[in-house]
Order: sequence, then C-alpha cells, then structure tokens
Amino acid sequence: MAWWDDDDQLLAELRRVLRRIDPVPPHVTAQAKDAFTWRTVDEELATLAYDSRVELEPTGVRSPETQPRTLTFEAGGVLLELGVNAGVVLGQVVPPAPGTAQLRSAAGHTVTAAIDDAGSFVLRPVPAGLVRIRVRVADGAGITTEWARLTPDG
Amino acid sequence: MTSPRSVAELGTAAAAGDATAWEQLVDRYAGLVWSVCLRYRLADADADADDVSQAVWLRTVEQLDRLGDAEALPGWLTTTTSRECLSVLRTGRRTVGLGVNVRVLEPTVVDVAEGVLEADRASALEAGLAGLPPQRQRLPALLVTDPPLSSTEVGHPAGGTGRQHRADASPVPGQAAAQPRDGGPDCRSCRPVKTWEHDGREGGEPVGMVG
Repeated sequence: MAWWDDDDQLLAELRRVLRRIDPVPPHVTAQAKDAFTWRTVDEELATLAYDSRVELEPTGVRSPETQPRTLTFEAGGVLLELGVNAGVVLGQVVPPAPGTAQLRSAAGHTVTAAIDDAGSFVLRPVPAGLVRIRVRVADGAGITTEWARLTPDG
Repeated sequence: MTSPRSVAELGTAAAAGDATAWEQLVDRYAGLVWSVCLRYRLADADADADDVSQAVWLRTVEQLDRLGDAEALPGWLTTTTSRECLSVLRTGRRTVGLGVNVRVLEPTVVDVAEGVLEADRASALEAGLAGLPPQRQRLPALLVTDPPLSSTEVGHPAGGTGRQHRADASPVPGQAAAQPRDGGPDCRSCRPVKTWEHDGREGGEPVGMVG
C-alpha cells in the first residue's frame, strides 16, 4: 500500500510538511536565495584542512588563552594559514607571495589588506558570523576560502 | 499548472548561473533544511537554526559545480544540515568548516535516504496543497497543528468551520478539561478537504488529532 493510501501515514506526512512549510521564517528563505550572489566561478575554493579548536576538542584540551586559534585552508598547493585573535586575523600565504587579501562577511562587510613580500597580512576588524577570505597573489592566481567563523573560540 | 522543473534541471541551471533556478531550489528545499535544524533542537533554536540554514545554503552554492548529480541535492542538504547542527551541538558554539566536520563527527543521525524520500513525499504534498484554493489550504494546517488547537482557535481562522474540533484540545491550566461546547466532537466535519477522505472508511479520529 502506498503511503498516501493510509490515512495515518498521509496525515503524518502532512503534519511534517506543514510544520516545515509554515515556520521557515521569510528572512531565512531570503538569506538562502541571497547566497547565490556569493557564487564564485573563477576562483579555486580553499577548504579547511586544520582548525586548532576542533582538533583539540575531542580530548578536552584547550590551547592556552595566549595561543591564538589557528586554521589552515588549502587549495591547489597553496596554503592559507590564519591565526585568530579577538578582532584580528593574522594571515600567511604559503608559498609566500605578495598580493591582496580580502575578507568578506555574509552580511556584506569587507576588509582588505595588502599581502607583503613574505606572504603575511593582517585583517581587522573581523566581523562576527560567517566570513570568507579571498587571496590574490602577484602571479594572478586567486583562491577563496570556504565559509568559516573567525572568532577566537570558534 | 505548468510542470515544475526537475531537481536535476534546476541544479544544472543554477550551476550555470541561473538565479531563478537557484531560487526555485531554495523554495523547494528551504523547508527540508529548516526541518532538519528543528529536529536537532538547537539550544538557541531560532538564532542557531538561522545560522545553520545560512551556512548550509552558502556551502551549497560553493558546491553547486561539484555536486555533479543534482538529484543528490536533497541528500546533500540533509547531510550538510545535520553536520552543521551536530557541530553546533557538539561545540556549544558556532560551526566551522565542513571539511573538519566530516572527519570529526560521528555518522549522521538523520538517515540520508529517508531524508530524500521525505523530500519527495513533501514535494507531492506541497504540490497538492498548492492546488487548493487559499482558504482550503489553511484547513489541513489546522488539522495537524501541534499542540492541537481548541475549537475556538480552529473556528476563527478557518471561518465558519468552528465545529468542536477535539474535546480535550489545549486545556487551559486551572480550567477543567474542555467539554464539547457546540455540536459535539465531530472531527470528521473538520477534516480538511474531500480529497483526503477515503470512501467507505470510518477511521475514527485522524492521527493529527491525537495528542
């Protein structure tokens, strides 16, 4: 018997559907649609390869307060290492190359900084919420990190 | 009604830059993502679910080109939402990147295959509901409201169908359990639309009425 031939199942499904049709707040749907404007077609996506907060979590070990949270993103042989302190991100591109780093938040804020010859840069302030960093180095290659929250405690 | 584009068509079009296709995908699956969020009972339910939903859709945009088989999208959304929710629950904080979560987290709680079937069933029901006149669309919602509505609450929004809906629905603390006030508990009179009924079946109370 198909699920729609059974009143109980049909109503259970109906309840599930209506529960989720009704309460998705309009701003959540709007936000989801806006996500499309973040589509990047010409840049490589740098995925998170390491996050000190997550790596240390399973054993309950926390890095001391003085140690910044560190994250590493990777794309096509380029590493982007980030040290996160309150309100500031220290970045390092490996292999080192000068260029430009730009942080963008999902809320639309941008922070731009120059990458020096040693491949390092400083971004501040760091907005709350989801952000991503786009790095463009001298030879023209660009990478964009996946979305992450860059606050000291995650 | 024009036949809706398939998930595969929408996914391919969105990956090629078609914003309208993307919006149709969101319209179709925002409820799926949201319902998975709600299932995890996140601590700060609204704010966390907002955040998870946004993260999921942003990641989906990132992955559109890589998803390949767009039919896999509902499964991808279910899995990704589960991971984001688990990450929030696990850390008590906000989520970080997906890559780490994949390695660290336990197998997902929500069964992906079931999530896909659920989305299919939901699509069928949503299409059916969308075909009803607006006033009629509200009745199924009243039928399956949890917690159940009182007859007064049902009567007002539904306009003219305020027959006793459920004798003991939503008792007010300190007040005796509500007694039938007008016409007795005839739930079948409240059943939403003819098409939901089956000829010759006397099924007693619909399951949606049982608390």
